[in-house]
Amino acid sequence: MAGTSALIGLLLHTFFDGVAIASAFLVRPELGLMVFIAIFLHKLPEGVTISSIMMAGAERERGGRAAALLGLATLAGVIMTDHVGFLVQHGLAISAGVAIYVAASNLVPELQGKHGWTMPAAFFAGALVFFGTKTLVDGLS
Amino acid sequence: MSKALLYALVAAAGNVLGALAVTRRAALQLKVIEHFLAFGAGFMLSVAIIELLPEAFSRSGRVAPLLSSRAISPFTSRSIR
Repeated sequence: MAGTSALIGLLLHTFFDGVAIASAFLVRPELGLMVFIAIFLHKLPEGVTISSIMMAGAERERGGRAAALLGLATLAGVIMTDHVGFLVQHGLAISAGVAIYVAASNLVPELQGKHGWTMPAAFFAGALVFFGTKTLVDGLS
Repeated sequence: MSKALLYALVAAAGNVLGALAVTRRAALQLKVIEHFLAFGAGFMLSVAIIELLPEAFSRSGRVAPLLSSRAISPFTSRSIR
């Protein structure tokens, strides 16, 4: 079933969201904060995706439940990263790969398919806000 | 509770918030969320390339390219729409 396979794929992905947050905090808190912002921003559309897929031809509660499962997978990722040695050392490399893959192969084609200038503008605003935040954080520390 | 877990909890709530917009059929919120996706993509690519990759290479050394390669990543994600 399409809904179930999408849910399993997204569960794995949101698990690595948790790994990313935890391993970035292990490096330094400022990096953890940056990664948190990046992940939070794409979690809203992620919730939209999974609930739309799960609600197709089904009742509303399924959409909400699936989104809650995604949230739980993220928390599991954080807890696992604190306890599994492999993730403590290599979690960052895996989550960097996952982040680049998701952003470049899933998110960017999605916004390229939309008409108008506001979506590309939002994309560049995202990059600009990152540089602004980084400059600010580096200046303070 | 660790700091990372606290932040992850807030991030996890984002999944549920996004789903709420759909189950409540809130058209305006969905339009806003669409732009969050674009903004998030720009922010995420910048963080990953400028912050995460150099840090990952210094922590994982020679296995870093393998771990962050396209060979692994596709299994962890599905098209986000």
